Amino acid sequence: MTDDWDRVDTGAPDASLLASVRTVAENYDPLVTATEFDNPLNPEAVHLYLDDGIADESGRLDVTWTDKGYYRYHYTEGDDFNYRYDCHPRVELPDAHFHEPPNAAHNDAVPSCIEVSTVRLVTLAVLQLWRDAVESGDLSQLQQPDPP
Amino acid sequence: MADINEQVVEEWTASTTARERVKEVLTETTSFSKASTIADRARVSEPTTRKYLNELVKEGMGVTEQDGRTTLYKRNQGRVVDNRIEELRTTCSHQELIEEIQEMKQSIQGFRETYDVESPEDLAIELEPGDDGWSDVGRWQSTRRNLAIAKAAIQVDEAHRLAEAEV
Repeated sequence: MTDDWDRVDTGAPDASLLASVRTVAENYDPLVTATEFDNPLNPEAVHLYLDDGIADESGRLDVTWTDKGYYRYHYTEGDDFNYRYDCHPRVELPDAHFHEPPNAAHNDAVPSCIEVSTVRLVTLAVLQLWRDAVESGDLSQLQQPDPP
Repeated sequence: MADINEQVVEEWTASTTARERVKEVLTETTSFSKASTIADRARVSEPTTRKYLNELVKEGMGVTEQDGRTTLYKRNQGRVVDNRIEELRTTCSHQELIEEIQEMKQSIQGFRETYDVESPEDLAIELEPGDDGWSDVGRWQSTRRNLAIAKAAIQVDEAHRLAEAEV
């Protein structure tokens, strides 16, 4: 899969920031039903399992934060429905950008509505936007009120 | 509908104290930053932020550097490493640590062979902007760091066990 994340120096995955994501997500109950690191001793991502979905009945967020303060929140319901909030340097787009559903492809990226930048606030914003989209069934809720 | 950014900030400021927010922002500040930058991120006034930052530095949570007359702050990376070593030592079995150490060594060997360079720093020099492989620079750095932490966890655990046995 084409992924712009692989083509820039985004920094090293940071285990302590990933642990913060997990703590925030677990406290966001009840829709975050389980969390796990892809590799507990050498984590690159923390998986957040969600007990509801937009196109399907459940979903998963794969989250990475690096020691340069860049992040990736990849939401997936399998091959057919994906989107991603990214923050990393990219040509012709702001650092914070959004890869739109259903494919989250390289060329689908538009400026992101997420302007906050700390681990807690970005995590809460991504989860809240997801919840709004699940409850309304309206994909435009993933970018609210409007892309800047 | 309220802006998502305002919404999460309001929830955060309503449920935390100024000191908690400054501490939280400091723990994710990985490069030296001005008090004003940390104050903006914590939604706390600059004088109050500076007061709490200085307390947190005294407690070992942060470190400082002088840039002329300006004091810069970041998290105490050594403290983060120490906490991680203690966490692994107390939550992982010796066997798990040994297995993961082998796996991380193999990953690092894999990076060396794939890119034909000796370190992530060398890889960063080799790569051109826009090349695939940039994320392996970061992966290699964090794997190297986590390998050292896992080895240290075994050593510290050994030291604790010997100290207990000899008393």
